[in-house]
Amino acid sequence: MALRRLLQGSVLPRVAGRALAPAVAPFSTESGETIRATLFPGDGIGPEIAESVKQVFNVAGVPIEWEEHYVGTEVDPRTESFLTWESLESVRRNKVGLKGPMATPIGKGHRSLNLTLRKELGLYANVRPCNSLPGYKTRYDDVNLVTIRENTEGEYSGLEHQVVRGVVESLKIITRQASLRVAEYAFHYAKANGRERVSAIHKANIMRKTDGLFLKCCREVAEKYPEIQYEEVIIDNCCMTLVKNPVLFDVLVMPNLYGDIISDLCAGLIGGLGLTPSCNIGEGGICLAEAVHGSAPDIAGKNLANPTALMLSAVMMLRHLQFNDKADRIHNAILQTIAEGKYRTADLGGKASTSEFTNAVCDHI
Amino acid sequence: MARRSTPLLRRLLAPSPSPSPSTPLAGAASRRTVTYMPRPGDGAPRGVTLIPGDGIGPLVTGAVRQVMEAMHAPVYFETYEVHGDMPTVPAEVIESIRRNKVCLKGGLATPVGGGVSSLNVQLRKELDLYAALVNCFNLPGLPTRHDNVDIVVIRENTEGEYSGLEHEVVPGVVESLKVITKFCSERIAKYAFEYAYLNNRKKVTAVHKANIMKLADGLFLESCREVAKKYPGIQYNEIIVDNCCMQLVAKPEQFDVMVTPNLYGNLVANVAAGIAGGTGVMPGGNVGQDHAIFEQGASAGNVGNEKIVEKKRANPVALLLSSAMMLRHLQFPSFADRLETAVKRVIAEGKYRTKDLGGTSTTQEVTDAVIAKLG
Repeated sequence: MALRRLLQGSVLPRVAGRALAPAVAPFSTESGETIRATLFPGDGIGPEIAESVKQVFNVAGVPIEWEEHYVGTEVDPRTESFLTWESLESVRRNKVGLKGPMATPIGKGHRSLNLTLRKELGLYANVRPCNSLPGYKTRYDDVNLVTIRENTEGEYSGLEHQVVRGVVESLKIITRQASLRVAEYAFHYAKANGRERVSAIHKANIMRKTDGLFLKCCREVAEKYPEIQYEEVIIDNCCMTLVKNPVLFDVLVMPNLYGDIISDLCAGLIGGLGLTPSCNIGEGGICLAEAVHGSAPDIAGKNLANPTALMLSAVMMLRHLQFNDKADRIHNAILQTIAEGKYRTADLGGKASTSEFTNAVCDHI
Repeated sequence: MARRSTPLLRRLLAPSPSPSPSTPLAGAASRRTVTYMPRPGDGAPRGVTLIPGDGIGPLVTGAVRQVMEAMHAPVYFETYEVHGDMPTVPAEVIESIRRNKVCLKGGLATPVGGGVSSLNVQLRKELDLYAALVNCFNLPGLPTRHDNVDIVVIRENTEGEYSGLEHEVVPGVVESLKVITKFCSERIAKYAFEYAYLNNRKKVTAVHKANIMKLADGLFLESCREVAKKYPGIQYNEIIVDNCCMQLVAKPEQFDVMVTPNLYGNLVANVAAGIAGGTGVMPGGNVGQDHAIFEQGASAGNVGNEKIVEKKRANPVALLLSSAMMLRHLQFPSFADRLETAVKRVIAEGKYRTKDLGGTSTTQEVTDAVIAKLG
């Protein structure tokens, strides 16, 4: 870690290159051609941090044209939610999107926003790289891992019913198709980003058939990638090792429930959801990068929000589009700004405003 | 040697020893003025079923035996060989536990994905040990990344995701049932609040995922809320499991007693044990209406690897502290205190620590050190 700090200038690009590139996408990278991407600024602090991202992209000269869409005020019957059909069509067409935090509307008669996006766009894998930020000290200094979570089935199928009064059953479903799909993506990601090891997290000693099927699929895919080490870790040991010695993990692939908990645990190791990028991969090569923190209505509009999570997610999106050099430059700029410590927002213990932080990042590009 | 109890008058008139700053624990033990008055005959030796188990199990249960003998504790062990790959727990073992009411056990390793259901789970269901308890706390002298950790995780032990009800619907599609009942949720909530009440704990936190599993975890929460009303002196709050794990890693001091359904309890207990020092040191057990099984706190299926067994470097601290809990359960508080104090002194000194705590000692060395420190 000390060595990394000394060689900050030269080592950071290597770290960045390993850390944040999602799948290889079928995009043409001819210079001069702008790519359209959908942007959902979201609610609360969403619009401010989306502006920060746009500013940084302008300064870096990224050829992206944003199509902005907002959550509607009434339920669209075609999608059964507050997201309109046009918004979803836009993502399907552009194949790339960036989403800010969205407040969940309360009430019945409509699906939740995240559920709508997931189902309509077929988002099957959630990728969250967790890297300790040099310069921002947490109790853990050397976290460098990626969690890949199956996003469609498992315990979150939503299939529950009351058998008799006082007895409720909830179904956990694991299918071969979904498990193979996420395992394929995990190994593909590992290979594309120079990662050495993939660990499948499970509880197959207790849930023998369900997690057993998940493991079988992972093993099948592992055979096709002999250059990548594959191991299976029971979730108890995984949790224990993550809090004692997170450096032992590289890429983690998990079913839905464990993935939810472990990815939030890993976010906690590096400093919380305000610093963690995230990206959802869908059928047909769709990549929807998102900020996983909340919309923080109490600081909305006050220029206090921390745009780091959305910026890092946007960098993930750039790597998906294979604008690797631009992605590296922006990523390094963000890391340097935080490492220097002069411009940090309130949640990191500093006093800078959103715009000051954004300007500092732009200066470093 | 067992100390003859001094007549009460002599003890009251003797000058109370001033606590020396280097050994605060010594001061506390000898200044004990609240005496436990047993009934005549309570000192008769109690039978305890002992299951050495797999992997490091025999090593660490051996350590407990040695320490119990050195203390002349009024327990005798009935040992039974059980291994994780047996199809069921032998009937004689269950008989013995029913008779003795208390069992001490090393871990039983469950083969992964195989046709055998976990024996740890079988034992719990058979004897209806519905509460699993893990006490995660910072041991003085053992450096960890987190301070001020003192969490007790109480986990429902019989239903939830571990019902074992799985089937293949069509080839390639498997379903597993998670069952939550009001009966089990209520009794675990009652146990958690009662535990907090009896141990002077201030807060009980229910861990759940009711925003997604609305009916199942919703039922669990309802039961917890109802029981909470009966204990107005104890604070109650609820937290979603993913946020809970994040908070445990960032600010563990906010948690006191946590009550959870089966699967989340497993994860939360392991995270809490990890931040406080690891599975090698956290005590715990399973308790039901009539019986109790004491074992290493978190992750009872983790029996270490062959290297540790070969080199005899397993950490006996967890099982020693669990056996102290067992001694209290059997109402031998003085023996329990002596054992706990000795173990904590050995850890605080730092000379004899096994590999998972950063040292190089063997199990036997740690055991001998504990025996030497028994007061």
